[in-house]
Amino acid sequence: MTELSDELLVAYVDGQLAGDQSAAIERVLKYDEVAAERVAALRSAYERLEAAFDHLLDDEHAQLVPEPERRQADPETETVLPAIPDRKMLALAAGAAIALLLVGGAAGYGLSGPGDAVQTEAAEIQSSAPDWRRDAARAQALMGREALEVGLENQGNNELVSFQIANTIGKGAAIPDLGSGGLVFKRAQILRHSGKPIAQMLYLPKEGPPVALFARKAQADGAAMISQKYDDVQVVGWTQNGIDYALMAPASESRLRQLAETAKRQLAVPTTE
Amino acid sequence: MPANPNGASIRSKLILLLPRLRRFAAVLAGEEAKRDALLRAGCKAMLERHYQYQPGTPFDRWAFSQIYAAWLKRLREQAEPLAESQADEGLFLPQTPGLQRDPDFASFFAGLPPQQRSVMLLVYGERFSYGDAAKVVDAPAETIARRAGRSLANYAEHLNVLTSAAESDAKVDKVELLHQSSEPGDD
Repeated sequence: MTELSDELLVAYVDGQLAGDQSAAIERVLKYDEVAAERVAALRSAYERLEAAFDHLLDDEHAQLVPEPERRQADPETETVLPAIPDRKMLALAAGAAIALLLVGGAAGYGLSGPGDAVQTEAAEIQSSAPDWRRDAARAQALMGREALEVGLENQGNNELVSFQIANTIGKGAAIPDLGSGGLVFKRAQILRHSGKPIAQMLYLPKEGPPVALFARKAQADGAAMISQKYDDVQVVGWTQNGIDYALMAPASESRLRQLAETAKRQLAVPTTE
Repeated sequence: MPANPNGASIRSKLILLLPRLRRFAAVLAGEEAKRDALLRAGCKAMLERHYQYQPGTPFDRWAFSQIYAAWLKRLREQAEPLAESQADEGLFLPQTPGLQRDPDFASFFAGLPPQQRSVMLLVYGERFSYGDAAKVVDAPAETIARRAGRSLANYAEHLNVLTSAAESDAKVDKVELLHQSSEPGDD
């Protein structure tokens, strides 16, 4: 038997060896049964450890973040913020992150991640043509009702979510209450287009697919309300207080314009900090 | 050169990391109340000293190192630092219904010294390289490799003992069954 130290075998199992070192170990393992058995035992332990740690992290997410919003985010990209936890966990999160206290409670636990389909589309958006409303409409087309309906817990505190949106998109951006139009706000998330953040606020009507309001920092001022249609998705867009908005859903233009007017009126009211 | 992030930027990044940082704090502190206090102290320190963060450094690695530094600081303040080593097993068992619980892992892991627990989490939970894990705990990469190697080997041994014990029990059961079936009946 070739003498391979446990330390070396562990480094091999951990994937911490350079390619040629790993290849050398693999050559030895082909004829050294004892070493191969040892590696199998280490690998089994490694996998069990990984699984145990993953479940602990899932548990942390479950306690801090409502179930449907649970998703790992890349802290470097800041493309997606975790969702608001329930009230009990808000207190813990607030206690844990003093920053949250500084901004008036657990404001930090803001926005949620989208489903995988939308996440994929969001990634595509970064490299696609610069028409952000068209791209957003494509993403919206992937959003099924079940993405919001299944096991969803409401994010609960619209003010906190609005705060996060304003922090990310710009002062004045907020979640309008579209209850008069039969819509219930469900959740929000931050997507990216050409490297710039876009907030997506999702509402659910009593029936039918969800309605989304997108917001991003405006490139230029433009007062007129515009309507466009991309495939089945109707889009109504406007610019207000330096922020571009686009309301979209597979719905009629008149219905969306009515909702957009409601949103516009509410967004004209200065928000308090 | 990228600008140094301000407090608000650090706060956003911290929020994203909270579940991972809380798991790390649990691994270091070993009990619930101390975990929360450690996480609070670590986050507070990061926000107060956000200017120390060097742009270009992976933020998660920096944040983990700050939690570790906060833990060391608290440990040094303890009258009996060694009394910290035994952890609460329950802290390493998911509480959420539906998530798999591994009591063998929890008992093994809780019995390790916190430094070893932290290396295991960084390497096997966070999947940091030995080099990155070394920067978190301010130790040479060789030390991390040694600790990771020893921990994984011990855990493999622990699982092997459990498996052997289970097989041994199964054999005993089988022998007892055979014994019972070969005994003469009452008739």
